[in-house]
Amino acid sequence: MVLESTIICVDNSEYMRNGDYVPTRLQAQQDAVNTICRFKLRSNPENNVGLLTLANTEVLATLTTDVGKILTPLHKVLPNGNINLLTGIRIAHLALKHRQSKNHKMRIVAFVGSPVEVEEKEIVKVAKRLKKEKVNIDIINFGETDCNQSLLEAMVSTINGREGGSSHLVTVPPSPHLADALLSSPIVQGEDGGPAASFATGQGFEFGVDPNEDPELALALRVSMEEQRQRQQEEERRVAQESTTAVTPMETTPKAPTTTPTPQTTAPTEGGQSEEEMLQQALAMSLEAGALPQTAGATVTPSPGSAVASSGSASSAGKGSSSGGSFPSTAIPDFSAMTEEEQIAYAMQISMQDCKPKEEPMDVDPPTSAAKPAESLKVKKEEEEQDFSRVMADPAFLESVLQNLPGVDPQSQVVKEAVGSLTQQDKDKEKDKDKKKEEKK
Amino acid sequence: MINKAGCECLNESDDHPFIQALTSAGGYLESDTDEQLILYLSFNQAVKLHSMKVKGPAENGPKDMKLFINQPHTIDFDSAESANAVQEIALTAKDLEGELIPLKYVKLQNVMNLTVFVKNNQNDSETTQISYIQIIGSPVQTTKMSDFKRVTGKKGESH
Repeated sequence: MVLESTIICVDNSEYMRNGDYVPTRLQAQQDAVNTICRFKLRSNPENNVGLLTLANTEVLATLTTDVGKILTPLHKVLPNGNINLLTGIRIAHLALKHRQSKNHKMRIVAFVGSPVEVEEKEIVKVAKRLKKEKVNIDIINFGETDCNQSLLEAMVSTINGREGGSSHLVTVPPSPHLADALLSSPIVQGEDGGPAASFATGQGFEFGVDPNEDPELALALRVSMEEQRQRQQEEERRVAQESTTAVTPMETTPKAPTTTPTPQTTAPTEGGQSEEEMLQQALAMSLEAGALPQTAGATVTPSPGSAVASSGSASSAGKGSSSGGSFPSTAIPDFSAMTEEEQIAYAMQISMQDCKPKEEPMDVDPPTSAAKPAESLKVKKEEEEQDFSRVMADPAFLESVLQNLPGVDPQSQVVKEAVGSLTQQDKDKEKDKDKKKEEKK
Repeated sequence: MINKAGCECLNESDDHPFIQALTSAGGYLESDTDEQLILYLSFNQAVKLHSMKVKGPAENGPKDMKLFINQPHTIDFDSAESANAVQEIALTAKDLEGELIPLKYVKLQNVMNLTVFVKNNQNDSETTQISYIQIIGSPVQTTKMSDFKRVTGKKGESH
């Protein structure tokens, strides 16, 4: 890590009494100083940190490696007077010049939480001076962000030059956690751009987990994030679509030539129900249906669990099969409320569940049962939306989706079969429809 | 001889960095904020310096220069201004055409690095330009392991 001496400039003007950063700006600052201080000292054991106040420009602590020596005077700081940024920076520079080991890089971290009333020319002059001596500056702009932004930007861009250096300007809007906002900022990140590893206690990372510590978990989280995002997009599209179909009754929407009555009956009710209801029911349904193969065991005759599931699905679908048949038929209507990814994921899940307990006597062949929901939903889908069918028929797309799914081995026999059956669904469709008819009866 | 990775320049401009003054091919080094420059040259091995050449434009080429040797780190402008230099040079417009500038050979017998502080330029303009800087000298006779010839065996073999 970079070897540097840092002077932290704390704004202790009267503006720091403001409570927009909980509890007060000054105390939020103390917290943030603590964070930065510890980060700097931890990134290299030889780093040292000093402390300076900007209102009465007083060096509270000369460069030291001891956090305690910084924090003790920091907590004694009281709001007083107006900010004097340029003088403060000059003093900080002077303090840095007298650092003990001259091979340290120089850095100033300045908190600015009150209006800086200086001309841009002056500020650029100071900035150039710092640039000449290769002093980096990080400015944390908070509180009076709007009026300071352009001035501080000018300063940082002057120091950075055209090629860009390692000086940063971080603007933090009023929030309960000034220090937390800094954790994700470049100030508390290594020069190589890496995160403040092992320091951030999980707050600085995207999901609160260090991706270096558990790459698999991080990957799983990212995948699920993406799926969620896709689902949201899908939902938006669906809402838009439903709003159009709500105006025009279902007869006008062109249907692919179908013989099975189920899709058409479910479709109108779907349009009538609200999106959230549909989704919740679908989720509950999929959970119950997913648990079904294990609970029901060998029997296909409706056990209590499956009866609940089927009745739930019947109510959700508006009509559906009142007989409460085997689970594929009951689960089918609810698939329409899910995204394709989810549907495929679910199909895979079922197939995995079906296949793992091999010793369990199943009257349905596992691969076909795995393929069945997917196929049947496929049929439905096609009737509902043409573009979906095109996407679904694309084996490459399916492959990519499969690879994204955690816990699914794209190489496994079951999955291959499921995919194969999906892609050549044209042939299977007839068979499937027949099957469904039987189930209806 | 010059270890380019170990060289540093203070107050160089973004467009015209130090590296352009170390090669004879085109480009020049220009100061950024004001006319002062600090050039820190480090060598691969200890050298004896005999003379140097500085090329630059007659109007804003460097004028007063200070040389420091074997500094452990790049000095800053204030200390460069006040410290006692090994040699101080006042360049003329004629020198900037590539004239050989003799150095104090006796004082520069074991140089690991050389710091050149450019205090001002010929006509006190805002920036200083140096198009080419060349140091002439010879390495101190030290044992260079790469010069040894292998007696027996192949490379990478221990015995």
